[in-house]
Amino acid sequence: MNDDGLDPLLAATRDHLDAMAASIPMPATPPIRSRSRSRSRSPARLRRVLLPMAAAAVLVVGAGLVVAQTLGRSVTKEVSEQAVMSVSSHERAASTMRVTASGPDVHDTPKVPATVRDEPEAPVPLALEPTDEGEDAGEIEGADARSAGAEQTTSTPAPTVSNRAPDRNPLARQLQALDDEAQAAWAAGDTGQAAKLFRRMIAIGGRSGAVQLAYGDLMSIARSAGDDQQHRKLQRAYIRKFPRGRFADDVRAQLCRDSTGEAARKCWTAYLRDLPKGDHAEEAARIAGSGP
Amino acid sequence: MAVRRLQLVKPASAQEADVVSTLDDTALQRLACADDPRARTELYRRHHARVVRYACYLVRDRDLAEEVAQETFVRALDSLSRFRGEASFATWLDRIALNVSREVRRKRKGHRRMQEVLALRHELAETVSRLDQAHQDELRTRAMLAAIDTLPDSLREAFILRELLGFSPPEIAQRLGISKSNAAVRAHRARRVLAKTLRESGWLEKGGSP
Repeated sequence: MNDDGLDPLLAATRDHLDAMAASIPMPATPPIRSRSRSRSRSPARLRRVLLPMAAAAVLVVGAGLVVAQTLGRSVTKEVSEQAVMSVSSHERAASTMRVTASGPDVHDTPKVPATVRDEPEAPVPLALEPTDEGEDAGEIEGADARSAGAEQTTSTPAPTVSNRAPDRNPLARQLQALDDEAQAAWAAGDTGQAAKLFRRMIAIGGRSGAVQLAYGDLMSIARSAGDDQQHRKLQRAYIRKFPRGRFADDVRAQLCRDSTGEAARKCWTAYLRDLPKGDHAEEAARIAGSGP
Repeated sequence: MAVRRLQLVKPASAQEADVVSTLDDTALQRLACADDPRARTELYRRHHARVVRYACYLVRDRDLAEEVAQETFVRALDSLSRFRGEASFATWLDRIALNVSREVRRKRKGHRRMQEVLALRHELAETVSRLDQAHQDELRTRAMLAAIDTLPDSLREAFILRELLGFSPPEIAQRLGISKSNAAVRAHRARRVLAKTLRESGWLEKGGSP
């Protein structure tokens, strides 16, 4: 028992709060989140489901080839590439995943950095990002994610999987582990911990597709917390790092909408210059053309 | 907080409801994970009042508490498969509710001007003594709630759990993810800060009694 005089006040406060609680009725039926909930657009959800599928496909190809070698069969690089391409095509048809980088590693052939350009160009709508020329190495991964982003806009499931085999790249593995942990924390409502883990991904992940998604998730958290300042800060950081990233179109438009006067006109002009076929080009043209 | 689109579960028959009501939380959680709506309904029914009360203590606002409770169940029922049984189901729900309340609080930051309520005592110095007892008590309770709101997050949560909800330090530690001794220290510090705040703002007399 304390003698600070708080006890009577505490008792009155308890009574007050208990009365408040008693006045809240229980709805007759429990709520179940609709399948079309807002986060369903989040690529992270699809990624959680489809990433293991991609990893499994890589393992299946790898295991098959190891068995072939054990049996003394001469598996040429050409054959292995065909096998990988076959799986890759199947995967792409099923879920538009990219898993081709695993092929060469399995056969101890000289390792070639896996890039989007190693693959035939997928029929990606260029509406979001018309300026594909001259991208640096960092933006190539952005292009990978961008293609997924473009597919997303056409209502096709567009999971993003690193173009490196996740079980062979320590960084990709680390990013995946961090992402899994962050998603679990988020789902349990611990957005602080989730944000911390997403930031860790950004700190170590360079310009990988996983980092783009981490930015997206951080922005979602900031927005749901009503922290507009943090949301804008993340948007600006994202654009600096991924000027042609998967979220670039919408983020740039949002940043332009947040500016006023001449700054807004300049912002929309730059948007129009970089993204003449962007989703917000019409709005950009209207505002950019309205100035002096 | 975003308005969720919800769908309703058809009410179970009385007989089925009787069966599920005999199961413990873990069994219900397993059934609910297998998409059994009766189990979900029972879990919800069993914990609703407690979560609502918990939410009221955490946010001290009826509307917000309703929102926190609703969101807590939406999240919990959506991620039942992640409940590993390391703590009780009630503790797991409490942790979700705590996180939701933190989000709500951040969102509503600046919405209330609690300091104004605390300062009210000085403005009403002449009149408070003339008010009837019930009115005086009500004002003191409001001042107490306002003072609780001025506490730093870490102290406030520990204080509410310890002094208002009556949880033991181990129970607080489980819910806040801190050590038992830290939980006790935080609650103690919070109480000291609170008494000082109320004394300085005139809602608690120097000697201690209100």
